[in-house]
Amino acid sequence: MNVVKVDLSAKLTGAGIQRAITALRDRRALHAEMAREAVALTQDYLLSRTNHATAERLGAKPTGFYSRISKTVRGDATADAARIRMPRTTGLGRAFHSVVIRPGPGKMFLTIPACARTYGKTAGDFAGQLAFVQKIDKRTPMLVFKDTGEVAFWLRRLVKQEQNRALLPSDRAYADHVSGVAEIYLSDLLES
Amino acid sequence: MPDELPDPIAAELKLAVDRGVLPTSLDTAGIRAEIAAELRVKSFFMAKCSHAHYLDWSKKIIDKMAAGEIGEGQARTAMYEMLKIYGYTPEGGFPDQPPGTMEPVMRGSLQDLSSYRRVNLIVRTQFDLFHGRAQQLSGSSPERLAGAPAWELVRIEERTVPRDWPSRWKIAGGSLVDGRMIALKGDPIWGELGSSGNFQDALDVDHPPFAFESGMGWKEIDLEETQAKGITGPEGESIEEFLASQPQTLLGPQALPTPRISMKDVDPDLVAAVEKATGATADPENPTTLVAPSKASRYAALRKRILEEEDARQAAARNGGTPP
Repeated sequence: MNVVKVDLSAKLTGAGIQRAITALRDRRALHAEMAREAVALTQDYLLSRTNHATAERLGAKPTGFYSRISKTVRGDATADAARIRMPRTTGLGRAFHSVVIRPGPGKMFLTIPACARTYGKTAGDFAGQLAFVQKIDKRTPMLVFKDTGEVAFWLRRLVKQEQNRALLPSDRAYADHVSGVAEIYLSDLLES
Repeated sequence: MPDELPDPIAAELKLAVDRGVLPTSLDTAGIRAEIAAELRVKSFFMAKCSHAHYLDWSKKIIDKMAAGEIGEGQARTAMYEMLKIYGYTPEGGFPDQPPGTMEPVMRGSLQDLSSYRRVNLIVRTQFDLFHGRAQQLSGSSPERLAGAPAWELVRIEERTVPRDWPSRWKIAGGSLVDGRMIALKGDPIWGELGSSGNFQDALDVDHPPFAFESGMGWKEIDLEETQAKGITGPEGESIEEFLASQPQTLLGPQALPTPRISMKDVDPDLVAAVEKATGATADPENPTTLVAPSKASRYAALRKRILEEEDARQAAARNGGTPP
């Protein structure tokens, strides 16, 4: 459990102290504020990531993936805790553990985009334009464009992605931020 | 005979003052003027009119009406008079403007600045905006939120060809409750409903009338009925949880007006020092007034700082250095 330490400096009045005590006895509102701000921090962090290394390497336009998944982050709060949640499909769980991706039911391979034309697309988007090619060592299957011979997709039976904690703000960033939020929230109660 | 002052607005504002939603240091006229300034940014009504003097006078007339100094009828008359003084005709526009500045329009049409329809649209829309904002304020006090936590969108004026508001409601992300459009006060759906990004005729406000000549308004729904209907916040939060989160309206947090500090005739160096020390910023509507930083802006500044520190730590880690 993460513990947040809060330093306050505010002009104290009897009413203000009473408001702060009430807010600390029933912390749902405080936790709701923390959860909302933790979501905002996560969204700002994801939006600030210009981690389009693959797109840049392939000379392709970024797909706006981080922008899309940032909108799926949600927060909730109870009297005991503030939480943020991200759907499994965003892949943000890789911030905490490695993942192995396998082809879906009925599929043999995962398709890994190999050029700018195919970045952010699937093989189905190029129906009839691709041909299956396998090198003699039988270890490097791929799909190539029939017209140019350019490699369109690398084919893999599985892909292991290592944990990358930098996909999300660090524990320290979250702790610092919600501490700051609590300080602002309680200072306002004390001074208003 | 002079028009009666718009009583519904005065009543809403009085309620808001009585309930502590609005600062009592201002009298009703002062509060009206403040709200008028908020709503003046909606200068929709002067679309396709480029006559600076007429625009300026129109704004003054609307401000006077919003401040309760003149009634609707007087505002309409004053606008007609101004058009006469400046020699406006629908066929030729304003004579002191270069030819071609304004295209000839059909007399009596909505494009005709001197038509009753156009003048009435300006006056009515501004009046309705003002009334809607006042209603939003008066309904935002803690007691009122606790007793009647939701609004229902209802038709308050008949229209010959009414727009399909239930469809808009769904587009804005709402679902009908027994065929009714009900959401908690401060629910983002109200902003979506009034967003010109969603609807071409919207006024970019999160309170009635939401769109030009909508004929729509709010009815307060009491706690018992809100609970019985199973109304929740946008994320499924309970009424209590959602309202405890102090939902924001487009013009600021509910029930908590942003403090302002008058800096008129104060030494500019001192103003700069106050800005630096407090994080306050000049009010764009009134540069001699400083607006204290809102909680939202302080949170945003905090996030910015935290992310800058995070970037520095990550950069140091990449370079093999010791994170700060």
